Amino acid sequence: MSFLPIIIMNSILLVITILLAIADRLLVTYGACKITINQEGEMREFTVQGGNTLLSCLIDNNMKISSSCGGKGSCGYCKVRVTSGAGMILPTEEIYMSRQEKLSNMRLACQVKVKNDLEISIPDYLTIVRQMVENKKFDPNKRWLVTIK
Amino acid sequence: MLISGLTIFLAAVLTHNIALTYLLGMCPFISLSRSLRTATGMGFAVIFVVTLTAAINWPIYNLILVPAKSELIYYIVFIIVIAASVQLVEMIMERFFPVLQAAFGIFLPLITVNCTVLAVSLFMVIRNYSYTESLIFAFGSAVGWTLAIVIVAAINEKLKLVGDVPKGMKGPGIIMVIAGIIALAFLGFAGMVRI
Repeated sequence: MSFLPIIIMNSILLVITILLAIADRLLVTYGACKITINQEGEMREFTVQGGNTLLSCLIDNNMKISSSCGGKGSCGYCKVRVTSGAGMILPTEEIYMSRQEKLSNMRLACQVKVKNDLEISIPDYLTIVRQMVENKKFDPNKRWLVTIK
Repeated sequence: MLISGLTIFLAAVLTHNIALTYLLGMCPFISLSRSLRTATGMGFAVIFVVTLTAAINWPIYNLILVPAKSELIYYIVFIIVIAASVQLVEMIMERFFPVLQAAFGIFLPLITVNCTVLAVSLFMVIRNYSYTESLIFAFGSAVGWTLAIVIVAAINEKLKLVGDVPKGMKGPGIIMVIAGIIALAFLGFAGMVRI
């Protein structure tokens, strides 16, 4: 058995890792960013290293965000409301947002990059659906018109 | 050489269109073809990344893996090189070309996992292309993918104006139907050029 492929594979990995580490050191200069989260009236706050997506930062900090595509921007499930710090909505997000959602600053967590301090609120869809069932006010045509508090 | 290059380019764009003949890169194809502006941005980003990764993967395969008789690991190597080069390009773009990053850079993370990029590098190896042929093939394939997504997005936008799409067919359903009809139309080019 030849070990040459393994050695080559590891050498390529080593070169790529060094290149990425150097680039990360020299090019990414966002520093530490503070994320303030409001979920069901409960406030949470944590500090992360800037440069990653909001989705990966939230998952790293044990926040439950639904995402079936794993951050590829193709499912549109990871909706959060970003109250400040995220800039304009991107074309990759627009296709998943209704007009109501765009007006209420909803964003896809996988498309928002953490570059400065962010304030977000995570809509609790399960509670909203429960309330709708309890109040018998569920109308499939108006499901996105529900006001998320 | 010129004729061969032109043949490869035309074949990659029309007769062997990577999206409509091989059905590759369907995930972003379906999700981003709802708006013409998004589809065009994604298309340009794919052209850049596919050509760049083919330009890097060819020397790695032919100058490192083949002489060392390590061809069996080329799948893994290509995937790693694609992911790392896209990451590097994104970092460079974000730091030095913020305007370009705002226009096309947002599509780069989506392309890392687009199978068109890997498929082009694999086809390049299977078909034994030279370096120039590989670049022409990669560029042609990406142009073909862009052409397909732009056509589908344009039709989709017109359909929205008509507003006659049945409820169950809205979104991915109607896009698949449009893509199928466009693929049939592209069959008209079959036999024109061969690779």
